[in-house]
Amino acid sequence: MDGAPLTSVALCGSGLALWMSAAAFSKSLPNSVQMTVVDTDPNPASDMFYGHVLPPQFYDFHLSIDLSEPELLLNTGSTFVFGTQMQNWAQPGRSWVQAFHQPLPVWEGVPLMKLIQQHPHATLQSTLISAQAAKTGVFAHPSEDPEHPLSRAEYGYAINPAELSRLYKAVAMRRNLQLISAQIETVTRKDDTVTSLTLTDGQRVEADLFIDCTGPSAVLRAKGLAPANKSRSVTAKLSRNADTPLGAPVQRVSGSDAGWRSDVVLRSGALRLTVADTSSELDGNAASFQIGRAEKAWHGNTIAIGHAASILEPFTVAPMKLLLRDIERVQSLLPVSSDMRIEAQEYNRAARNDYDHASLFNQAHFAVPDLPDTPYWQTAAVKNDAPKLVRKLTQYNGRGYLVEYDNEPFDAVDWAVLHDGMGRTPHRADPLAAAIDPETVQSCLDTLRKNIKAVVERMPPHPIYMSKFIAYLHRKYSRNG
Amino acid sequence: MDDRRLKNIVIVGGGSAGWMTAAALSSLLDPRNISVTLVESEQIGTVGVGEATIPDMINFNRILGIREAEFMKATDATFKLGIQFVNWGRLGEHYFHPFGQHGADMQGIDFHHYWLHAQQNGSANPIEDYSLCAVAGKANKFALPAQDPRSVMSKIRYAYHFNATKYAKFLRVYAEKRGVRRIEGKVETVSVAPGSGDIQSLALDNGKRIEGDFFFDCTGFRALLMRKTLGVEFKDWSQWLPCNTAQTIACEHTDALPSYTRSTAQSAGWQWRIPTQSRTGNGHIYSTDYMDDEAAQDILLANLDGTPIGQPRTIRFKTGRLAEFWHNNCVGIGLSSGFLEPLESTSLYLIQSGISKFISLFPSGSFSPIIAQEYNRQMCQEFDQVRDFIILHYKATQRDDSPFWNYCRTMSIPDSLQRKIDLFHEAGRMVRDENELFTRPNWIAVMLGQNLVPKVCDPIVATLPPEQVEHSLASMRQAITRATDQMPTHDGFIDKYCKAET
Repeated sequence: MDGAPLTSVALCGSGLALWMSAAAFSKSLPNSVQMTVVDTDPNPASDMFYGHVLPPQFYDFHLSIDLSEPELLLNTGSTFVFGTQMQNWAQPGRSWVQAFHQPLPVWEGVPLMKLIQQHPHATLQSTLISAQAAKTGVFAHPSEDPEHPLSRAEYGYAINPAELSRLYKAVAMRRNLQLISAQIETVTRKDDTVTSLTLTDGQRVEADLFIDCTGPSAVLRAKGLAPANKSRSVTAKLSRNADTPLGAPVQRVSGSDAGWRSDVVLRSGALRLTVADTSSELDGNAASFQIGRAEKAWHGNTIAIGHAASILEPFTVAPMKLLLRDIERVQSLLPVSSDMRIEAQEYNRAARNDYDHASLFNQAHFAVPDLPDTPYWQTAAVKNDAPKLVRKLTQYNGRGYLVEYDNEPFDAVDWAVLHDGMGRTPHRADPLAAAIDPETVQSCLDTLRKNIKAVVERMPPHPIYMSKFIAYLHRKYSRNG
Repeated sequence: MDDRRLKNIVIVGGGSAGWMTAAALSSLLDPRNISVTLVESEQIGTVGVGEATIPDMINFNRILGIREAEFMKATDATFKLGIQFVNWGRLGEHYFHPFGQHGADMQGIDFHHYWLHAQQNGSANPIEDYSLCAVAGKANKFALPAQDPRSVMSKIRYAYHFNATKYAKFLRVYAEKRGVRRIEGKVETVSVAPGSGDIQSLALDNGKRIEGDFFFDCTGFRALLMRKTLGVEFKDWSQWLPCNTAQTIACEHTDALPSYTRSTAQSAGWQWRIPTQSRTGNGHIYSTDYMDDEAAQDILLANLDGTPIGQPRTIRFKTGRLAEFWHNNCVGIGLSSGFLEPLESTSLYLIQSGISKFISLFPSGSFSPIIAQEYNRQMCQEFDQVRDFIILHYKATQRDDSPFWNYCRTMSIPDSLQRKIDLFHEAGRMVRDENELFTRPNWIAVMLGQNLVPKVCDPIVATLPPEQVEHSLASMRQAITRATDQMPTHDGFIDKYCKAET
């Protein structure tokens, strides 16, 4: 083996990135590796820029760290979401539900998506049960029966990053780890390698591998390692309202001339994130964020994750997806020795791809000709010429073909719903779709919609489902101790 | 809106590529709206010898609605559970590259880490002992996979060996029944529209003229439309895959019918053995830079299982692919579009992939270049990924007994492959792209089989007590041995299930 074996890992930073990775590592790091957590801030303001929705992929992540859904619900104010209701996005009236949904059916050898691409825009939305339930305000857990319409729905959670961080911390502390609460004062390096951190309480932390979870400031990043690929900046502000009653299982994102705002309602109150261009005066605790990514997330023996590595706007779940991918990527490439060049190379390649592909999805929200003539929208549109995005849009606009790249964080359904929501209509019908008798398509479509409607009508309103579900969990867990 | 539609599709060349294309299109298109014509000449032979496939073939037939037993009877087919590689890592060594997985992943950690841990603690069982396909294959046994996912028998993955000429005939019946028009004749000239460069029509030696608005080049190595007519550039890969000639011959069966392909490395290439129901197909692939034809024939004939049938045939080729698979109104399918050695039986798969990608991008009557671009992007990626996997077999050798192997062992390889090798060598990590044909178990089988062993195993597994790991592994081996014992022989299964009429 080249280099000494890996014996210690230090996670440094704060909030969601810190405790989510600590929870993951507490399960996956071998016991022979010493794990140290340096918590620099119990409640970092920048966590608002991860957004307030966990995509469906977090369900499996939670299973992998032995965190059950009941635990999540009983220990945080989280609620269910079927997706994001986009409202007046870039133009008054451009609204759709960016729903979480399983792949769409295939009829007569042609994907449903292709069959209805030239139907009015309401058509695709009407075939997505999660979109219909979100709009109606109802919720039930997706059915296990693959024949049931509700089995096609997927859901995520609306969360408060501070509550979730506390829960992840409790999970992480099930393992024997060293926890230090202090700020980082100096970072000592030898060439590319961080040898130790000196903390404000005078302690020194040494480790073979450092995970930088310090947010946008990326405290462990080497000086001179440029924060490359940065583009525009935006200003964001978080406000809370403890009295908002629970409503539909959906996040709402509304566009305005100055930018956008996101609203979620948790059982512990409502969270509103307002984002605008930097010239806008957002009163109160506003912070500014620069969109972009670090050139190399893994440098020497330091891996930057979450905001320390990349920042995207949370009007989609892109930031949460990237944070999850960062953590999974570190786990799959955890180095075995102090010589980590091969792992770092692969990590940086994959991280770059993930960021690029997630940012395509966000950028596609700006790729329309009718953007408001205001600084926020006009600055955002500058990157519409990214070649990979142009390819996706050209192929879709041509005849509705969905180009997919390797391991994209957003899948074909996400893209189809987005294209449709943004009002893109393919110029031509897919030739094979056009060969199918329109009446057959219409009658299949009618049946599908009727079935969805019937199920949605029987589903309970989200607040009622939630309160009954929580009451049930309380009974069950108090009975079982 | 543009409502022009394709009306006349012309496929040039029969053989596997031509008839697979014709069959797939005919299963989907209504002949009243789009006509499909296939031009082939009895004078031009097909390359097809005994052909080995990979499991994706099952899907192709299933989509066409072809019943397995019927297809197997008609094509003299046998089952294939994997490939045995002889003398690839070192002279005297062999390993089995099975379909499907090795062992079972435990606690989210890949099985090969457990295997590696056991090896480091003195266990001697090669990784193929944990593959039901490998163990059953080596015992010349076969059974169809069980539906119950809890049963070890559900782990069976298989493909076929068959007579490719018979397969083409079989698909011809299928396609003609669904309205494909076959025209006998040899293409003499191809007319191209002066402005657009699109192919317009073909003139045949019998005076017939065939017009079309879309063409498939299935003319094999000649690449009559793609290269000769349209002048599409060919990317030469012979620096990585130096073999350029094959000698092929069939021979009679002896003994039990194997349920696997065998690939034996020779001093300047390798020799295949592919069993069909009635005979065994053999071929010796080599590089003429390192061996002359006569010596290659001698090696071929000296390594047959049974009495040869007929005389050896010589096939020349160059490894590589077209720079564009879709150019103007023409798509190249099969050998006309590129050639990778049959080492991993990917030829028919690449045909299948070319067809299905075409169908998902099915053009309308006016050819927008953006569709062709996307098709080309996907096909180039597919070829390049398969290429890397095949190069791995040559690169990961320790043989130093001939100039050919010295070249392969020391040649520089594509970065994409080097990255995979480095990651595996360092700590047993296997990364692959999402849509890559060959999956983790495939890469692991070949890497470990050719002695490319990771320096360390997964750190979590490393801390487990060796007895505990060995206990899990022993029970897996036992379950596999027991399942294999209960399986019928390959011969016996075929007799009952799909015996070809002789």
